[in-house]
Amino acid sequence: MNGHISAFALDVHWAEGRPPGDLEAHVATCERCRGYLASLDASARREHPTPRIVVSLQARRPRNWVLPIFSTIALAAGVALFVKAGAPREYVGTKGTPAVELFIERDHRIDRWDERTPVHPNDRLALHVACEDFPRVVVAAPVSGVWTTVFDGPCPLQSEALPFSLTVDDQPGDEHLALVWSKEPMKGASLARAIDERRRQRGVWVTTLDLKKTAP
Amino acid sequence: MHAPSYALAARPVVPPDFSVLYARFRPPVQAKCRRLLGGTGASDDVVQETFVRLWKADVASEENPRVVMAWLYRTCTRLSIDVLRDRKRTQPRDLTDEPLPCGVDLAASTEARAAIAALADAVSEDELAVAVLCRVDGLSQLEAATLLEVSERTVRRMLDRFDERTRSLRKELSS
Repeated sequence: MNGHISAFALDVHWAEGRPPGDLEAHVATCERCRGYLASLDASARREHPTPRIVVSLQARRPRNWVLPIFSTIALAAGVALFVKAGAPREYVGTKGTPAVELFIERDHRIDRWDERTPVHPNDRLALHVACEDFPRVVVAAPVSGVWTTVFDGPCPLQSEALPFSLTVDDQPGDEHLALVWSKEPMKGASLARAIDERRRQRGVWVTTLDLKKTAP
Repeated sequence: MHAPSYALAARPVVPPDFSVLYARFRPPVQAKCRRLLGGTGASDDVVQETFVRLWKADVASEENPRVVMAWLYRTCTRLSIDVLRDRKRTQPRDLTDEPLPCGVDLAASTEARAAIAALADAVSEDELAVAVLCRVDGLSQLEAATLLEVSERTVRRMLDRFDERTRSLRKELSS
């Protein structure tokens, strides 16, 4: 192979595992390309956690946007996620209703909750919501027995992750989350009432989630 | 048992091997972002945001590394341009000690980075993207055209225009 090799061509070659061929033959004779590929090898050996799945540069949020509040909320392990009313149910909704899906980041992996795997301290959780016709969504958690808003904002236009993540702490005890989709903004007592009633009428849709935590 | 949500089912699910994908493609994307933005927090942010978008897109399940890399190049180039536009005029980092492929001319790359940073607000994103790919990353015009999904002629035209702007800028600075 003659001529110079672009970064793109070398990057693809590296990602392919450097298969034998013209490009590898070029690398064997080109000190600069060899040095570049060696720098990629060195970079790969350094640990880089998989990115948080919900932080958005576009939204220009500060890098520490991950809510520290959750260390006080004692949101812990065990992603046993149940809709509050009645027996355990799937955590996704049915057609025409709002729905929530939970993702867990652990040990640099991100997986969708499988309804069985418990969460552990330091797991990072993200909520992926589908809002149907509701323009707003609130995520709340009980702090000292009072439902406290963790997130309050407009619903994403399409089903997608809400722009924050929750870090599981190591405090004992089960934790709870509530998602409240609504036509109008909801705060304070009216929000707490709607959650306590598990209201699903008059422009409000509430889903509560029980999260059990276990030691890793 | 409830029926699965049609809305969520329609969304891409995080591939179980996303972390593998990240390990495979992160080093080149990081190297690319650092070539343009330097080893700053901003380049790390761009890398992260690029992979967040990869996760949300259908590309993550693509098996051809060339297709995935092209998508990543496109995305992180545009995100980096956004950063440069926010950052305004700053002195680009010296790349003398940075490992660069032989296709990247150090002097041309350094001048291009300075020009891109200076012209970021005045030049279209497409033209900047072409300049980043051809002048900073050393892509051929054909490679850039394929990657940006435009004709080679379009790339040539934009590159000529950018080079002209760079010459004007050089004259302006020297006077």
